[in-house]
This record gives sequence, structure tokens and C-alpha cells, in this order.
Amino acid sequence: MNKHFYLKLIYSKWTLVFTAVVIVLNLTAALFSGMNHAASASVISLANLFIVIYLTANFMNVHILMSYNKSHEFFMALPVNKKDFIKTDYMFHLMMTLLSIVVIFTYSLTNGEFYNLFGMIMITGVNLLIASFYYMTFVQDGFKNINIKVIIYLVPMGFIFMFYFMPLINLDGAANDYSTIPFWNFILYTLPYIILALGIIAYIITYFTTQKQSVKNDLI
Amino acid sequence: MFKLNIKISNTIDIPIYEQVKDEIIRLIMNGELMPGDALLSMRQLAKELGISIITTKRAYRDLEAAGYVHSVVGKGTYVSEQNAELQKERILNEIESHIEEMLKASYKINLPRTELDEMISMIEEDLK
Amino acid sequence: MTAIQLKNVNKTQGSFKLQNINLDIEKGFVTGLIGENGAGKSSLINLILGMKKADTGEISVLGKQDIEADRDEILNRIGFVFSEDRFPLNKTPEQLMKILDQFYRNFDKKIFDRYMEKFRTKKHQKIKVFSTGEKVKLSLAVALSHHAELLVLDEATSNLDPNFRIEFLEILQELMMDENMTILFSTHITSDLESIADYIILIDEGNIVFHEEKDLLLEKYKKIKGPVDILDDETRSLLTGIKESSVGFTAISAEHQALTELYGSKIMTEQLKIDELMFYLKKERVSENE
Repeated sequence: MNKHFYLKLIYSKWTLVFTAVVIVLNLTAALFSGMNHAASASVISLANLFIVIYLTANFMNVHILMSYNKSHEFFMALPVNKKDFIKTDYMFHLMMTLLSIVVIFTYSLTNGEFYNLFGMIMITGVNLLIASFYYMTFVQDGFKNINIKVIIYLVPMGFIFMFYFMPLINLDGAANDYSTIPFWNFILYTLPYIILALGIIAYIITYFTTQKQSVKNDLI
Repeated sequence: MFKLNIKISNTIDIPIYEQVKDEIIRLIMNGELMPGDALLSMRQLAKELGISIITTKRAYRDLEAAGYVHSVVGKGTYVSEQNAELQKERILNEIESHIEEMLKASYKINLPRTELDEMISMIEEDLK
Repeated sequence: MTAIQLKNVNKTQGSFKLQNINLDIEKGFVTGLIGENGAGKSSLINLILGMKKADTGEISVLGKQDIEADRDEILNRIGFVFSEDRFPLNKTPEQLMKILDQFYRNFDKKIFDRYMEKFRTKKHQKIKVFSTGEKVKLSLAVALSHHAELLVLDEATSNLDPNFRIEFLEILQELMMDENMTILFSTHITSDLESIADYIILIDEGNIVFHEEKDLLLEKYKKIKGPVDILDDETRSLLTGIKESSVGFTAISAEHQALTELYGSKIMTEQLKIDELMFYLKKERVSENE
């Protein structure tokens, strides 16, 4: 298992470096909240947004990076069992997900506004659902059409950012009154927990089913 | 390890294994390979000649079947003690080449054949 | 002893099919895999490496029956070279070596370094600046540096200059000094096979045409040349892949002795080359289908 982990680390190197930088930035900003003027705040927000995307999409990103020059064929001919390969991928993604949680958490510290945490819960839930679905297709097709599969990530994640996260941010201190929208409270403050629960369940179930499925299909 | 003097050709219409076999027989005949000498291992010979392993394997098998060599399990292949007829042939080969040398030398001084015969008889007497 | 065994293996990929493949690849020998582009050589190799999954049938490699469960173990003992380079281009050989060291149980940095030196490969430059030949040399170094017992080489020699090809064949023969070593290599440069291959497998349109000892093959078939006027039905039946022209015919035949007895000096018998054998057999198959 650790050998494939090493490969994933190499391909995630810059994401990890960037993550560390952003976490340090967040903590610094939180400590010196006096510096927290508009210009630096928007830079920090943007950096956070990017790194959260990179972390939660890392599993796909690594596969895409690995498939440049079709080098996944090279890597897949190195000694590793398909089951271990999938297992490691799941573990690695869990690690990246935890990092994304840390990033969002430190970002919340900066603002001192904890509504972001609902966004974090939602993103983590959706992220786990996406990963589960992605790996279900991955064990079927292997590295075929890997580039097109970005859609699997972009569509639901984009949807959540636009129709959940943005309204959530705008809600803060804004005059907008969403209370007229039916179930708004439910969507805003209860749905994230449900999605997270579903995400965790899906991730655990597919962890086992994908391992089983992986040995039945082509890798390349 | 002895120097192997084996020549094979890819262009002539004789199977390679046959060429290898003939060459080794030639080496045994002219005394370059003596009874008890070890042959190169099949894999070694294949490598040296740039030919396939099966080819050398077949050549060795044929040589063994014809009694030129024998293999010792786990050790290798050795040139066998040759049978009387083969020995005789080898010695005849040797004599032939000596006679050739002798005649060539005699031509140089235009030695008549009768004198040559006398010399042979004289030396023969001495040896007895 | 067999190094690779396939039993009734079928694999469909789009319109291409590997059909009912049965193979026993002998351990301790060099087997050459030949066939046209798209005949199924690479597909077969992908099955053996566990990159693709057979639809039906059994594959065992190096004594391991379950290519899925024992994939790690099997691939630890295989060195491979692909027909096209599949390297991560933004890595250097040095970085690649670290990855290999993680993956292969028996990876030997010293051997790798020795080959890198022998092949004059730039260790600290990104692979993307390498020429095609240099990449092939690198993949050979990769394949040879973890004490593999089975080498699977897919068109490894195609992009090498002739000098290095000869050097490479010598390296292979050196490796074959170990009787546990097995080499399976596919190539279209049949002169490479002509010299060192023990067995030859011809694959065409997803079918195994023959799997035979090279020596026997080249003894069995000879090239026949002769005048067109002797081509009656009986003679034709003894010939394979007849090519007629205004100056006579050429063909191959497994019945060359009978033909020599029949026609004596009217015909000419010549030693055959593997690519000619491939050509005439293909010609025969095509004309049969017409």
C-alpha cells in the first residue's frame, strides 16, 4: 500500500505545499486581525477557494496528471495489486479531505464567522459523494476517458458553490431576506448534515465494492 | 577456458545446429579439443555465437548421440574418449599433414623421391 | 516448465478480438512474438501484464494462477518495455529511480546506475528532452534493474540504432546465461529474432498462426523459385503463398524435398527468412479468403 501512496504524494506535492501556505496565511490573518483589510481578505478568500477545490478534486487530478503521455500505463505495470491501488486511493483522499476541512476551519478563524462551517460540512459531504461515484466508474473503465470525468466533479461542486455556498456567504450581514424561500432554513442548516452522512455512508460502501470490482475490469 | 575456433554462417543453406556440430567435430578431429576437455555450456556457446539456445542444445544432443561428447549432470559437457576408428582417423590426419610438410621441404632442394624413401628407411631403422 | 500459460483466452476490444488463445511459453528460452501492426501482439502482452482483463479463459504467469490476486508478486518478477514510451515526461531518471525503488522489492540501484552509465543516459534531465532512442535505453534500464525472471519486451528494438540493437541483443543473451530467465519479445525487425529466438509465435488478426521452434520452422519451410509452366494443380497444392510474375514464381513450401525430386534443377530451393515466412503465409491466408 505505501508504495502507491508514495506515487500519490509525488503527484500531490504542489497541492500539499500550497495547502500549507494557505493554512499558515489563514492562521496569520486570524492572529493579526488588524491587517484584515479588504484587499488581502479577497486574496485570502480566493486562495482558500482554490486550495479547497484542489484538495477535494485531488484524486481526479492525480489520475489526470498520471495519464499525461499515457504514463499511467507505465505506472500500472509496476507491481501493485489493483485492490491495494484502490485502497490507497481511498485513504489518500480521506487525508486530503481532512486537510480541506482544516483549511476551511482556519479560514473561518480568520473571519471569526462560523457560518462557513456549514459550507464546510456541505462541501465535505458532496466531495465524498463525488469521490464515491468517481471510483465506481473508475473501476469499470480504468484510465479510459479520464479527462472527461472532470465533469463528475465540476458539475455538482459548481452547483454547490453557486447555489449553496454563495447564498450562505451573502446572507451574512446582507439585507437579502431568504426567509420567503420555502425550506430555506432546512436547506441552509440541516441539509449539510444529511449530505455529509450520505457522503460518509457512500464512501464506506464504495470503499469495499470498488475493491471487489477493480479486479474484474481492464486497468488501461 | 580454451579458445573456441568455431565459424558459422547465416547465409549458407546448412542449418546452424549442423554447422555447430560439424565445427566441434572438426575441433575434435584435429586435436584442438582433447578427450576430457569441457565444452562451453550451451547457454555460453549460444551467447558467444549469437545464436539461439535451442540451436546449441540440438547440436550438443546430436554430438552426444554420435558419441563425440558426453554430459555430466550438473557439471557440463565433456569431449569423450574417441573410439578406435575415430582415433585412427585423427592420427591419419596428423600423418597426412606431416607428409605434406616433408614433401614441400623436399621440393625446395629438388630431392629425388628415391633419396627421400632411403631417408625414411634409415630413420625407421634408428627408431627400432 | 512454462513461464506463461494461456488457456482458451478470449478478449474483445471494440471490433478487435483475441480468439481462443492457447499458449505455453517455455521457461528458460527466448520467444519471439511476430505479426503485423494491430495483429494483437500488444493486446496479448497487456493481458500477460494484468493491464487488461481477459473476457474468458485462464492466464498463469511464473507459476501464479491468479493474475489478479498475485499481480504484485508477478509484476515484481517481470521487466517490461512498451512499444511506445510511457514515461512521466516531467520526471528525471533519478526521480524515476526513487519511484521504482518503492515499487520493486528487488530494485537494484547499482544495476540501474550501471546501465545508465553504459547507455550514457542523462540522469538529471527531464525525460521530455530525451530522444526516442534514449527513452528506449532508459526503459531497458528500468526493465533490467530489479532482477526480473521474465522480460516482456514490446517492440523494444524498433527505435534503436543498429549498433545499439546488436549491443542490446548481447545483453539479452548475457541474461539468458541464467536458465531461469525467460524472454518474450515482440518485434517486426525479424533479423533480431533470426539470431537469438528459440521459439517463434506468429499472431494474425487475433489468432495464433503458429508457435514453433525457430530452427524447425526454418528447416520445414524453404523458399522455392521456378518457372510458371510447372504450376499445375498438384504443384500448387504443395506450395504456399505463390507469387507469380513474368519471370517465374516464388513461393514457400514445406514439401520442398518432394518438389526437388519432381522437378530437379528446374526449381531453386533457398533458405527462408522469418519475415518472408510471415509474408507468404499471410498471402496464402488472404488468397484463401478471396
